[in-house]
Amino acid sequence: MGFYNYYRLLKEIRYFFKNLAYKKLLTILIIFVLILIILHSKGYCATPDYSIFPPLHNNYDYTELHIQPVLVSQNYWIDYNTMTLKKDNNVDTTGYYFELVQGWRYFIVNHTGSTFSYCTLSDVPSIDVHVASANSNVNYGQTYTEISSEVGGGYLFLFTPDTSAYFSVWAYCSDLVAPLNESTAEYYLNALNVWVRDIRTENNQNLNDIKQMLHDYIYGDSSRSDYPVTSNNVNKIFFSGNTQTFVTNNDANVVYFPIKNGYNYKFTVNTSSNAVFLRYGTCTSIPSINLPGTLINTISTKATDYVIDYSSTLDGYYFFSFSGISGQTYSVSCVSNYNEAQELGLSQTIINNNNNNTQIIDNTLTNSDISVEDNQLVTDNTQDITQDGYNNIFEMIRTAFTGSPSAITFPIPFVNQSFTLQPDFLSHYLQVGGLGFFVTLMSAYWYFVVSRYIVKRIYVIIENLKSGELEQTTGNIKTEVF
Amino acid sequence: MVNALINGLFNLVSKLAEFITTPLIVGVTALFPTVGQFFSYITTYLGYFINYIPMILNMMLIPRGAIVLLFDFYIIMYSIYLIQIGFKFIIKIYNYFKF
Repeated sequence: MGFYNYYRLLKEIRYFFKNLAYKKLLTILIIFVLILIILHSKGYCATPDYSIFPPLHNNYDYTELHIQPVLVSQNYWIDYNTMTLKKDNNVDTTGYYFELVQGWRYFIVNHTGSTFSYCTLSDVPSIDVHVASANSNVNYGQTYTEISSEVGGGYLFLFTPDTSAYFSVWAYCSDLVAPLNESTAEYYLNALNVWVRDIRTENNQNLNDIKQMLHDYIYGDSSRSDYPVTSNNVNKIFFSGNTQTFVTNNDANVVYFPIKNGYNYKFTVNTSSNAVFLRYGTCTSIPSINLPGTLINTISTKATDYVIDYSSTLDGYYFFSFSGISGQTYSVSCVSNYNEAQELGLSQTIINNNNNNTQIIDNTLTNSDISVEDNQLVTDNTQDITQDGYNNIFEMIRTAFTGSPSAITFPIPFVNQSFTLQPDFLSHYLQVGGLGFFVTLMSAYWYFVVSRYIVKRIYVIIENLKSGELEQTTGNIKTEVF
Repeated sequence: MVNALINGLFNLVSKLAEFITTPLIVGVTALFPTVGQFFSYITTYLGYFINYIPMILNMMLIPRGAIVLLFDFYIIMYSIYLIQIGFKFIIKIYNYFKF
C-alpha cells in the first residue's frame, strides 16, 4: 500500500468513528472502565495475582501447559502456612480427597517422615474403610511421583499413616487435553503461590532444581535412552507385519505406532500393574514434545489384558501413553494386515505400467502435436525497499488490532511499585460480578456497529458506481492529501 | 489469435510498467539507502502506541471477530480499488501507444 492508500485508510477510520452509533453508551462504558481502573490501582478490587501464573515461565517455556495445585474437596483444606492438609475434626475419615480432572497429571511431593499410600476412585466413598486397598506408595525421599487422571470426576484418595502427613500435590495438563476452569482459577493461583513459597522457604529446597526437575519430567530428559521413542524403534515394531513387543519400564511413556489408511490393526496391551493408566488415540505426526494427539479412550484399571481392534482411517500414528509405578512393565503388541512385500509389489506394478504408458506417448508424439505459446509474463526482480516497510507497518497494525493482548504493567512513580492490568480483567470483573450478560451484550453491539458501518460503506460505493465517480475524489491528489 | 493479442498486450503493459518503475525504485534505493532504517523508526514509534491497542479494545469489550471483519472489509475494498486503478493504468498506456 502506498502513501495515498494510507491516507484513504485514515479517512475511512475517521469516517468510522464519525458515524459511530450510540456514542452516549460508549461514553458511559469508558467512564465505567476508568472507574474500574482507579479502583484496581487503589487495591479495592481483590483479584488474583496472575503474574505468578505460571511461576516457572521466566526460565522455561510453559506456554502450552496449565499448572495448578490440587483443589481439596469437602472437609479438607490446605493450610497455607505449612502447606499441609487439615481435616475437619468432626468428620471421622482416614484419608484425604482431591478432585481429579480428566486429562490432568498430578505430582505428589512427599515431605513427611514416613510413607503414605494412595489410589484413585471413581467417587468419594460413603464409608472410608472400603478404600483400604490403596495400592501405590509414595516413600519419603521420593521427590515426586505422578498420577494421570483418566476418569473425569474421579477422586484421589490419600492414606496418611499419622496426623503429621505433609505433602504437596502439583498438577499440570496440556491445552490438548483439558483447559483450566476459569471459575476456580483464582483459588488455584492463590494456592499455587503458597506452594511455591513453601518450597522456597520452609523446605529450603533450591527452586531452580525444582524447576529443572519439572521441566525434565514434562518435556523429557535426554539422559533417558528410551524417551522419547525414536522413529527407528517405531519402524522396527511396525514394518515386520507381525507381532513385535515394545517394553517400557518407566512410569510415564508414550509409544507410537505408524499406521496407514485402510488397514486394520489389533493391539494387545499387557501389564503387570494394577495401577496402570493407559490412554490411546491417534495423531498425524509424532509431536516434538511428548504430548499425545487426539484421545480415543482410556483404561484406568487392571482387569485383564486388553485387545483393541482398529481400522485406520488416516496415515499417521497411534499413540499409547502409560502411567503407573516405576519398575512395573507394560507392553503393547501390534498385529496388522499390512503386508510390506505386497505393497512394494503393487507399487512396482504401478511404476512399470506408468513407464510403459510414457514410452507409448514418447513413440507416438510428434512435433506437430505440440503447440508452444509464449504467454509467460515478465517478472520484476527489482528490490523495492519501501515495500517491506509498508507491509511491515500494515501487518503491525493488523496484528495489534486482531492479535491476542498481553498484560501491561504500569509503574507508579516515586514509590517503586507497579500494578499490572491483565487483558481480560474487565470481562473477569463482569463475570465474577454476575454481569456476564453485559459482555455478550457489548459483543453483539460491536458486531452491529461494524456490520452497520460496512453496509453503509458498501452502499456509498454502490452509489458512487451509479454516479460514475468510483473514487469519490477531486482527481487532484495534492488537494486530497493536503 | 485473440489469445495471442491479449497476451501480447499484457506483456507490453508489464514491460512498460517495469520500464517506468525500475529507474524510480533503483533511484530511491541508491539515493536513500537508509529508507529501510527510516521505516524501522516508524515501526518503533508505532510500537509505543500499538502496545496499548489490544488492552483498549479489551476494555471496550470489542470482540476480535468484529475487528477481523472490519480488516477483511478493508482488504477486500482496497484490493478492488488497486485492481481498478491497475486497469486504468493499463488502458491509459494502451491509449497512449495506440497510434
